[in-house]
Amino acid sequence: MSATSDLSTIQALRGDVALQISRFLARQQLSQAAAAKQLRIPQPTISKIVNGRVAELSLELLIRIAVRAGLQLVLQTGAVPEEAGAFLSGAVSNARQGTPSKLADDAREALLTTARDMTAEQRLQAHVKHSELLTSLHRAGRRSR
Amino acid sequence: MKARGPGQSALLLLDVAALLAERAIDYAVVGAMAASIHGPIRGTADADALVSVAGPKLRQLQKNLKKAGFSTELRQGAAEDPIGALLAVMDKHGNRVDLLAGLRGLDAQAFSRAITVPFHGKSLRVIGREDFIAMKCFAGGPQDIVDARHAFKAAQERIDIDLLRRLSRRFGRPAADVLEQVLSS
Repeated sequence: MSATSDLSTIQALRGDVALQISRFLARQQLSQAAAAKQLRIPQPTISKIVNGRVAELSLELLIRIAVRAGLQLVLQTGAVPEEAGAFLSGAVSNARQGTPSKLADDAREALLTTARDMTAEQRLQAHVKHSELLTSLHRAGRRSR
Repeated sequence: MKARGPGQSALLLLDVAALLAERAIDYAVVGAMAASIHGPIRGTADADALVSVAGPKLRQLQKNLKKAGFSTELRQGAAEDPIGALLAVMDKHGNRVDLLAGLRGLDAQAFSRAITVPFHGKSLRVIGREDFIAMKCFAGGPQDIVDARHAFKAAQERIDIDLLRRLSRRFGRPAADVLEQVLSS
């Protein structure tokens, strides 16, 4: 897949999420100021969404806003539909989600067991390291746009 | 200031916590930092803490934080918002701490049940396990439920189920229902 199609996919997703947020705002009949307060974002961001000027808004921000608005989000990825996993926001199921895997469960259990032996302070230090790494990745992603 | 670069919101929280302690304001760390204490470790861009102040005292706290050199933003929750107010504290590296005040349904004793965790030569008050799980059930998102399940699983026998159910009920029926799912998973 080319860089152009990467960008066009992200731009299309931005547009889709922004459209649903705009529809939500229209249904709520909120002023932009009230919507900004409710969704905990600056009013100019609301204005950009409503007017379709979303190129400079990150997809992550739009997803956050959609979740805050109580909108359902479904994301599927995979080379073929059969392997596409789905992430649903705003839905709670009584049943355990996903396909059970003993291997995956064992791996998760091993991770929990390892972490169980760490002190609380070691956990916080590990949390900081992970946060630094995540921030570096996000920044690298922004730079590559 | 302890934070030396981006991705260090936890260290910014140490500075904020010191200021809270100076002013005898109770707080309890929640969010991904608390999740890292009670379950699998995961990072996050910001740090969250509950604070036991509201109204004029929160505005005074904002002034104190500004005076200490931080950028701040105070937002009041709408009537239906479960969070009364949010005071965001930012530093020059883009680190951010969200101080949440007036969480609807929170047991006031949550602050006294918070655990003390040593961190970078100081200490932080982190929300206790039962309060953490109950809050996650209240939040109810997919990641919240995963966090609640992991915290419950990691606790093994070291958990007060009666307290956990009582705390969840304070947040309302949906939270209590989510808790029962977590307990039975």
